[in-house]
Amino acid sequence: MKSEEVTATAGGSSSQVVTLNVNGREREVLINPSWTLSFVLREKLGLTGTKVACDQGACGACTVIMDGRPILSCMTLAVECEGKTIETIEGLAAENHPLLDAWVHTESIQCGYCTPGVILAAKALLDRNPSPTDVEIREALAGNVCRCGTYPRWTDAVKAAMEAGNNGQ
Amino acid sequence: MDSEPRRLYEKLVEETPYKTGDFDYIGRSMPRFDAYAKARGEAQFPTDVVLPGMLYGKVLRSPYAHARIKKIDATKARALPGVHTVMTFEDEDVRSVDPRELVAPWDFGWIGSGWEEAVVSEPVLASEVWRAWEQCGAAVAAESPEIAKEALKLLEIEWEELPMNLEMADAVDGEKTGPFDQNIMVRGLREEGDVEAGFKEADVILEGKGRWAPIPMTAIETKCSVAKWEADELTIWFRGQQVRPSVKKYSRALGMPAAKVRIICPYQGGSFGQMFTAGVEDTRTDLIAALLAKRTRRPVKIQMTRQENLFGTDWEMTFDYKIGAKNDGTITAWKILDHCSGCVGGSSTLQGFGLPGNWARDELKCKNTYEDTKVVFVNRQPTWWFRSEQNQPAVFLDTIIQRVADRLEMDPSVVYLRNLQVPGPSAQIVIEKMKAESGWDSKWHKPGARTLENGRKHGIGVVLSHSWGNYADFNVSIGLKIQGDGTCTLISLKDDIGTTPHTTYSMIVADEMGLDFNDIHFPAVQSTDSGYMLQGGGGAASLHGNSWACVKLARKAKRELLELIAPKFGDGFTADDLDMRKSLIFAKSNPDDKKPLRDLLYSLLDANSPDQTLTVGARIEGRGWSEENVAEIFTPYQCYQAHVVEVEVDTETGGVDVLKIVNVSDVGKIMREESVHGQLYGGDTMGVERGLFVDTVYDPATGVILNGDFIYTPIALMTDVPDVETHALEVGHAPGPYGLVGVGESTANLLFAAINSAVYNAIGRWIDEYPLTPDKVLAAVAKAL
Repeated sequence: MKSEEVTATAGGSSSQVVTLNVNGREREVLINPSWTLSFVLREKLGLTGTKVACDQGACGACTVIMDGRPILSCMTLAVECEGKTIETIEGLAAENHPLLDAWVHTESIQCGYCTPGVILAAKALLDRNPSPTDVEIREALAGNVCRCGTYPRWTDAVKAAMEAGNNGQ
Repeated sequence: MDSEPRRLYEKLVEETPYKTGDFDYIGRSMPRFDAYAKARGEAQFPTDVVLPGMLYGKVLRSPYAHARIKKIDATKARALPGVHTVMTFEDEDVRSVDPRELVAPWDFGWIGSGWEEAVVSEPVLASEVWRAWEQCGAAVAAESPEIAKEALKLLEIEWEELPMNLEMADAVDGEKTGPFDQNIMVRGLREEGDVEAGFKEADVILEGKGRWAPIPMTAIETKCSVAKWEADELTIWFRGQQVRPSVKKYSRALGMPAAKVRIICPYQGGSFGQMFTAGVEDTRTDLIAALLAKRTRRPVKIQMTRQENLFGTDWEMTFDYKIGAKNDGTITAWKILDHCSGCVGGSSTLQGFGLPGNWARDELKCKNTYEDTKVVFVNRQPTWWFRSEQNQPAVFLDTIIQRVADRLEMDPSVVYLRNLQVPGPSAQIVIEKMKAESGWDSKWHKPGARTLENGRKHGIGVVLSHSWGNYADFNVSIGLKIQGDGTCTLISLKDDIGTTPHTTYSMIVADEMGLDFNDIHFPAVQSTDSGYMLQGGGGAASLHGNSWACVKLARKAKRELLELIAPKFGDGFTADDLDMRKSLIFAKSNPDDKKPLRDLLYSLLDANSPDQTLTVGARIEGRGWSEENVAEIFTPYQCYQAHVVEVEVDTETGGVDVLKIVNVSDVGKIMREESVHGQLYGGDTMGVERGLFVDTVYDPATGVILNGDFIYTPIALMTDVPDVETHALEVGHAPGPYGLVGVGESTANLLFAAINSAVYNAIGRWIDEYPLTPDKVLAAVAKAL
């Protein structure tokens, strides 16, 4: 995959280039060491599907998958992500992952601001456990806040995705 | 009552009667337009707006709960590399903004006396602050948020600390610490009948105290202001609720023509009343962004942190009550003395229809009532509705019913029905359904009587009240554009805070007009360009007035469409001869001979015709938000709700687990089914956290909120809420179009009371203060032993 140089004003003399593999594309980003991964994804790479709600690792809205594990991108410094493989909601959308249909058809969406983070958390769950129980689903998604209270639909959504398609693989 | 508003209202009701069936779409769950955009991460929210050359703004926050800036020096801040501008309260462009326009009569003028005193429009950057963490003094625009934050630290400020009151009890008789003549901002005194005679008539008298916590405001997307200038034209990306008054408000505050202010309303990450523009904190941020952008000639974005976003709370309420009742459950008199918290920048709707005793006054037959409400100034966050101003009325109504039922050892539903003054079958039917679905009769037991195998105490509780849809503002408008291919676009500025109203309105138009639902679209993201505006979300009310506008539009557009295509349909046909269903045109005399709308329109609205689209507009007028109109038409008490909660209480830790929720709600008329259920279980989720978790904790030394984030404000997660069983009934004929009533607010206003009665049922001791945190549960358990 051809790498892509992102020219950005990082500010400060300690700026450095970090290489990230985001949704299958290699991206080189000039960053300030204080920038979080969520800031880089949103403001520098234009991947605003990753949301920030608490900015302190307490709500799950910024969840992305890094090297196969769900992480809170607002609590992760981009400088620590050199060489990492990152999946965001845009990546799932590009492959029409069954979780998207599942979230839509079970109406697990209201205002939708938390939705990408929850879907990524669900994706990470299904990747490591293709047939989770209700309890395992609840525990896996317990770090994601939905102020509209769509929780009662999430279990059905994950199950619908399970049935729909081999975890999108 | 005979009046123009009343006649208008009755005419609207007559034109859209309640009915079942006969709809192709209304009542079903048509796919929501916004679902895939949101699931794919493509829906753009205000916080997602990134513009070329954009700068990042930050606003100074007060470290003191009451203080004055005596001197400010921004020299070092301005010199920091990456800083583009620093503005302070002393600057001319800041001083020229007229703060009075932030809270304007067209916005909330109906609220009546006390409003102006309670709100007080602060300067866009104030030199005197009334609460810790308030926006004040200075703002910065810089290349990055970090640089902007660093610049604020370089401001050299000489503060003068002033006395403060954080607790209402201290403020009532204490030193004046606000801008008002006294610390009692507003007083509401209501008296009916003869209270003392009512108490004498009673067989039992109950007295006690209670507290409702100041719920922190916590929509998921924080406030974000983005402003951009092109020459003398200003564009603001709106983050809030009620976008409609923004152009007037911002243009007047900035002293510029309304024609040069453009508001874009992206998707909204919830609000629940937080950004209803009732307070000035969030609207001030928009103006600060506009000023910074004008100075720098670059777009400016101010993104509040989670802590900054807690710029308001619900009213704290403390109250003393006295209730008299006969042995058969008849309530003979009640009295409530309550204090509610207020501060600069908030509102005082408690002065209007939101007095804590209002639900009891409106719903119960008892006419010997006395209420004395005092809104007390404290140096805390401003207070206004957060789903919603009816929390306090719900607390008091439930206190009356539950305590009387308990004292007389009666079923609460019996006490409720005995005292209910509103006619109609709804309450009875809802209660019967509630009992059947929850197993109430077999599960309810004497308080403290059931211990589970795991050693915990089982409890079950119920709350009963009306479905509450607020009044609607009928001054709304909407347009429809029909293309040559038969597809239609709805045009109107309408903020969506999560209920997908654009889908519901499209279902109404499709049904009323006879369109196929797939041929209609209502883009959620629109701007002020069209001139059409619907009422924003809020008050569980927008479906009322907005739906009537949609009905009017659809009927008008259908007529114009049929007139246009009648000659094309066949020789001699007129619009009166034709009808349309699912985008198929047919003669009334021969319904089987159908012609697709698109085939007939194609040559009429093509690229060479002068009108390439058929555009129709409609508006509903005649009401507006006046105190009189609200009083005349505010008659929602015809549909009821019953919520049952089962809990387990751990008497060793004080922990409460909610096991099951059964929500039975008469919603009048189901418009979009899944939206109704979403409001019901969503409201119950909020009700769980209000019952068990959320409060606002202030540092008594500084006045700073100590739990101003998502870590120390424990809001409900998936593991806190059981599966919620929702039953939406269509029993009554509520006052909205097709007989609908809003339910989004009343659910969240009720569930916590069911939790309280369930915990009482478990441990046999009432807890008088919300939320029911483990320490309070343990204290109650200790007293019960």
